[in-house]
Amino acid sequence: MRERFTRRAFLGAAAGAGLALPLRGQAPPSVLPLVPKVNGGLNVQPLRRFGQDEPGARPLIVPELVDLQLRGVYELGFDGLRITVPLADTGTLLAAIPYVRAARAVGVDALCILSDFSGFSMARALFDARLRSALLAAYAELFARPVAAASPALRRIGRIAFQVLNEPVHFLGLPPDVYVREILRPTFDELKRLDPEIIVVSAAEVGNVDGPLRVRAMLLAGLEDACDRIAYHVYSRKVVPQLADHVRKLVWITESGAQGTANHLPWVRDVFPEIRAGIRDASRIFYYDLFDPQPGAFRVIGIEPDPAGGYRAVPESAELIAYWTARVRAAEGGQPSAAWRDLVPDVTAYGASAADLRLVERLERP
Amino acid sequence: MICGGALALLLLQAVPVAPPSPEPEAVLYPLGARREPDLFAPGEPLRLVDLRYRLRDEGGTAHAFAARLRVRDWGYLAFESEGERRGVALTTPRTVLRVVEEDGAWRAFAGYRAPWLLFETDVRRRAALEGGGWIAAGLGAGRLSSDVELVARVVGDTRPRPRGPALRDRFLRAASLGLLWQRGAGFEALAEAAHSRERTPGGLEFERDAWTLALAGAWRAAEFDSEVGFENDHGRFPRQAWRAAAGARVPLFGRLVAEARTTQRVEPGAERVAYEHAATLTYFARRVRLPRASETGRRGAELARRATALGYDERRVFLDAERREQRERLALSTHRDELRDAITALYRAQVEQRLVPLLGVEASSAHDVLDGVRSRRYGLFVGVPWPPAWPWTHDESAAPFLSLSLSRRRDTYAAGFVATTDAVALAVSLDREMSVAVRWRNPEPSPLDLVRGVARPRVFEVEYVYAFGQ
Repeated sequence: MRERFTRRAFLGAAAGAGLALPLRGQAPPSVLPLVPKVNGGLNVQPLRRFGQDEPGARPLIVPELVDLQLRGVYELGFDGLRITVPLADTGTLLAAIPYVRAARAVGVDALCILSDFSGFSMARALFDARLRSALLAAYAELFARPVAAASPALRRIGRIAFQVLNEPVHFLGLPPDVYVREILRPTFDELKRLDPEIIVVSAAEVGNVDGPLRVRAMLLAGLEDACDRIAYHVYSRKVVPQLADHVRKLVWITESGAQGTANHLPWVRDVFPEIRAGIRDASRIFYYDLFDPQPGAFRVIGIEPDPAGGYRAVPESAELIAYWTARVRAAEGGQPSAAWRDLVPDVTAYGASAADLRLVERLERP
Repeated sequence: MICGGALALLLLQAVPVAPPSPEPEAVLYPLGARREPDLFAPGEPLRLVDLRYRLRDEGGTAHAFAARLRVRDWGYLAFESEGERRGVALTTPRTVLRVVEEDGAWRAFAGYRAPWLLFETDVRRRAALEGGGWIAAGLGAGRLSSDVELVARVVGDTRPRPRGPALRDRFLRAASLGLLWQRGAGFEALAEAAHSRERTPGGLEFERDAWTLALAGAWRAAEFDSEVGFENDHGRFPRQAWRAAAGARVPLFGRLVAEARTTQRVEPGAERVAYEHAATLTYFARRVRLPRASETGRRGAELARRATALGYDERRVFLDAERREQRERLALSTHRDELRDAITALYRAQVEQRLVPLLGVEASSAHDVLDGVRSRRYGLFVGVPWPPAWPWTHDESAAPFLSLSLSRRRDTYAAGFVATTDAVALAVSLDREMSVAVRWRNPEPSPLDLVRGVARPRVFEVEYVYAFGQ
């Protein structure tokens, strides 16, 4: 069910959650180099609160949860964050704004998945020429606008990329060729018209043995000419040799991981190099995932209330976290890096502005 | 021609001709007793042999109309109209000409049946909106013996779609060579090798080699068919795929037929790509004899063999519509008097072995990994014979009368989305040549329909069919 809010309610919601309007151009507090980005990309859920919003209540965004996950992305040395920016869930869309902007401010590329967690709203909007135009203009304004670098030591802010739906056959029942011709191609053209700097990433298909067949069908339907990056998902070693490794675009593995905490480290340490060797065009792998509600499956951290106030991360996949940390330390070469808190003292500075709220309000109208 | 005639004479002498059984008793239908039609009567100058009308309501109403006339003794003239489609066709014993126009796209078909050769060509002109250009397909079949044919096909395209600067347009798009062996009615085999240049909607082009082996036949009272195919795609995204299909129809206890069919598609390295399984059980009012394993099969094979010996290059055919077409063609030929007994015998055998289904159930299950859809279909069929009788009554004089079929198809898409399609059809056979059918279908939208914002309207159809000599 789509939440409906008036502009007043949005502003109230943001204020109620402690999200202030963004303070762009805020003086960066640290000149230390940033944490080396040596561990690829990471999938992050646009977590904004635990529990459900009260029916009819304002969407609640808890800044500590946004801050906690972003700190994990930064401190564990990731160069990319992949996050869903849904159309049908206004609260989550608003929550994704500080995730994306703060990540880009510390030099982390943001890959926004144009997808809903359920339903067809996003797919329908991307199919329809009029809706697509309005939607993409709003999303480009919300996420692709440059942000101020969080540190003078940062050479460039993070890039913005949009991934056009997620696993369209698996989650939406859209045939691969229809997806390429009727959704991806026009969305690519429209995004490039809005901002040629936006990186357009195709949807991947499921990471099991069913995926490569669908990816091949997408390639035959003209996938290479309809995006900047081709995406694959890899959840099984068997699919690596079946995925085309000679496409005419760079490949991003936008999801890869292993179920079961004990399998996390072997997957990253052993299978990621296999993927890079087997798919020669693969330039980035996004681990799945930092946090999700199901313990013992894919997530590497749990999140629980901190008795001292706010929330704290509980390492679940301790070996994997230690592995990533060791790679960061090795890349630092004994030199200190800028602390997250010095770069982003207040994540609410990256939240939605009044103008953003108006944009989101307009999206809500049919 | 002299040589051909002599050879035909020799063959005719070698083939024993079974005389037709005496005209059977008239079969009783709701419109009354139906005597044997005169399959050889000429048009004077015209005679209506086909009349079809269909009204279809699917959001809007569409009418389809088709008629076919026998013109004296030299051919059949047919007209059709459906929506924007208009067509005309002319059939003589050796030639077929057909022209169809629809929304600016033209299609023409021509066929010629020489004594030991068959030529067919199908030419289509794309509408300007589709980019123009001509697609031409040709078939040539040379008969090596009365049982064996060599079949060659080619497809050309003057303007393959889609266009692309990097794509080289070559006219020849596909070619194949096959060998068809029809041994009586009881066994048939086709082996075919094909090579094609495939252009995908995304503007990629690759080459495909394909091999097919198909077998069909009868064993005792049962029929079977099977097909194995292998495809090897070359190019940037190579692929190999196997396809296998098998089906069997087995009469049980005289009046029951069990049918099973399976189709599988696999790709080496991947798991099963697609499958479909289907099973049907049907109970009949009369004793069941299947086309390949019965008198009709034997009579049909005999007719084809005799026609071929006379220079008409006819294959064995087993479907009622194919048999009717063949019968009509041969009834126009200059050798119709020599073939009269065989044509009549086949027709009588078909009437004698008519199927009168009373009760049927069917179930099928399919899955295609590519689009992620799992389908299940269940069907129920109830028939009432003429004269009306209880379903458990055995009546060898029965004819088909009423049939009601109900079906439900359930397509489960990824993420658990389900679309169901219910269908009901009621058909009334007024006699062997005339029927009326009413059909209704209520499809639920698929995910793609929801994304495209299109509705799937209910479909309602009424159809009237008259087919002389069916």
